[in-house]
Amino acid sequence: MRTVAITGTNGFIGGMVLGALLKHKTIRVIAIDRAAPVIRARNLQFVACDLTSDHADQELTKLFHRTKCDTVVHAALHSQPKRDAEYTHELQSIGTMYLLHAIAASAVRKLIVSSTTDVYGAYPDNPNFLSEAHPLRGRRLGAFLRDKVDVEQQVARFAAAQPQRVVTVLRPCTILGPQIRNYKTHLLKHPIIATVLGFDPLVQFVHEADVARAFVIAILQDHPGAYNIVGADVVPLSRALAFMRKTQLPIPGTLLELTLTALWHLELEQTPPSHIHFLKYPCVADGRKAAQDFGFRSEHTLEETLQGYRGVAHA
Amino acid sequence: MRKPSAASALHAVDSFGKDPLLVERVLPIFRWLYQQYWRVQVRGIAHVPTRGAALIVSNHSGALPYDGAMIHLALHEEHPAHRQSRFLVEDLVQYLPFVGTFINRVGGVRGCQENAKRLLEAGELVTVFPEGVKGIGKLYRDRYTLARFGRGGIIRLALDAKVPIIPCAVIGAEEIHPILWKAAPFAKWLGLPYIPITPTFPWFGPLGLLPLPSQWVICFGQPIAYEKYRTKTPDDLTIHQLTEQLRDTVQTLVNQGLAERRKLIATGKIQGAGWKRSSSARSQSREPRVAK
Repeated sequence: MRTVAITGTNGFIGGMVLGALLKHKTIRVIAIDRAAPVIRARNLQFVACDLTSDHADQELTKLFHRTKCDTVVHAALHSQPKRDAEYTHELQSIGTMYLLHAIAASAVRKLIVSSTTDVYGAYPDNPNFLSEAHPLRGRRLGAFLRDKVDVEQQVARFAAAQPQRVVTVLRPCTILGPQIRNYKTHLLKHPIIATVLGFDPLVQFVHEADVARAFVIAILQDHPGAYNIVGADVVPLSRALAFMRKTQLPIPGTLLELTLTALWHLELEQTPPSHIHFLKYPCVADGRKAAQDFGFRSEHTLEETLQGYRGVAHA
Repeated sequence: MRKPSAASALHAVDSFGKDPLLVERVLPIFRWLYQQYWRVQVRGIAHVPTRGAALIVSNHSGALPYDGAMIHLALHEEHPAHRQSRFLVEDLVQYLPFVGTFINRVGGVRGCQENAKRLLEAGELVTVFPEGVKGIGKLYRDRYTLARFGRGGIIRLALDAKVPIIPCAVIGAEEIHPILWKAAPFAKWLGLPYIPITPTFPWFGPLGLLPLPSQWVICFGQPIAYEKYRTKTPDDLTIHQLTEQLRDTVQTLVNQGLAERRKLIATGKIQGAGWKRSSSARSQSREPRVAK
């Protein structure tokens, strides 16, 4: 019987992967988070652990030994920037470091890490399709992405130093679907959406169910390396918003940035000012490697992905 | 034209940002420029293959990238297969609001190896201007002399994607905005590499941005296949030599094009371009221009 541990089961990705994995009765799942998941199942065990505590790595090492864990899915990473940048840094950067200590000291064979295509950063000099080999330039776009890139770099160093272990990094693009809630879906909730005057970048989306499926593939099969998990189509932002029946309000970039910075610091807005880059410049990832080497293809069309979200917004 | 619904508009733009409906809307203006204003004459169109990818390498001039648009029209209107093409644009275009988006929607793609390779793999004709900003911003006194042809990226791309290079020369773009001097002040503030000072700009304000009606000739040369370099990537020195040879080829083509234009103007015979032109009788009776 395989034992798979998932960190961050109270977060969206962790919870989704938990739900998908519990259907496989031959796998014992260990949920690691500060609080227990709401799901109960025969093959589910919960272990409380705070990845930011000083003993996290020792606790995890003992846990992996005790349960003979062979795979770890690391999803204890925030899906949106928090105002407490220090805590986010502790959880994402330091928490990952402790987890990697524990894995290195145990017999865990596989590590799967949840990342995002935002780590490439949105820049005017991006190629139209960013391959996994492209340098991760997101670190210049605020503390949140800086932590994400740091996680990627730690994992890359770990993978290079531990070639006997299978390390997979999954980078989904913007996820939409009936259940997901983060700052991007929050932005899309309003009927009037601010865009940057004069800019209309190409964007891409992926359905949450496809992302869950990608994680299951990574757990059940061995695919070392990084993979972009994206939907099939690329569309200008304006067209996607028009399809979702949103009214667009183009605002000059400088004014929008000032407004968003003010709202962010006054804690009236979930979106950080650095997100404006993603409303101006492209950050579209190439899904060819995932299709060829990983066997992943999105099963939802662009319309289904956009409607899956829109449907809930109108409910 | 009926406005497309949001549902059909969702997929109208291709994966590099080109919007065929917008292209259709702006095509009449460019067609008028092609046929009536610049009276573009095309030579050597048979050198462009009927099918398959190729890299069209051309000289660059004119302060604004009309030459790209005219090459696109030449390929579409004059070639028996009415080939579509894409053109690569400088990075700086993507920084500009409105202009950047517009150029993407009419088919311009940011010039980098990844994008070019992907387009070529899809079987597209890709037009590239190795001189870049140096070429388009050439002073009038340096006209028709090619600037440095990049850093070898073109040759590497052709070898990597296994496509032929078709040299191309555009005659006529140098005279549409003769740049007398390049002003550096204010340019950086606007995000531009320079502000061109021409006989009409900035003295006549926005009107000074209207191009002058020179006579254009576009020549396509023999395709270069680089067969013997495809099996093993040559070293940087060889790549530079090949780049210089390519530049010489395009320069020769430019000189041939200039001679052709002089001949056309001297004899007063501006031939019809293959479609029926209602004003062809009018243009043939026009006073021949005296070449400088």
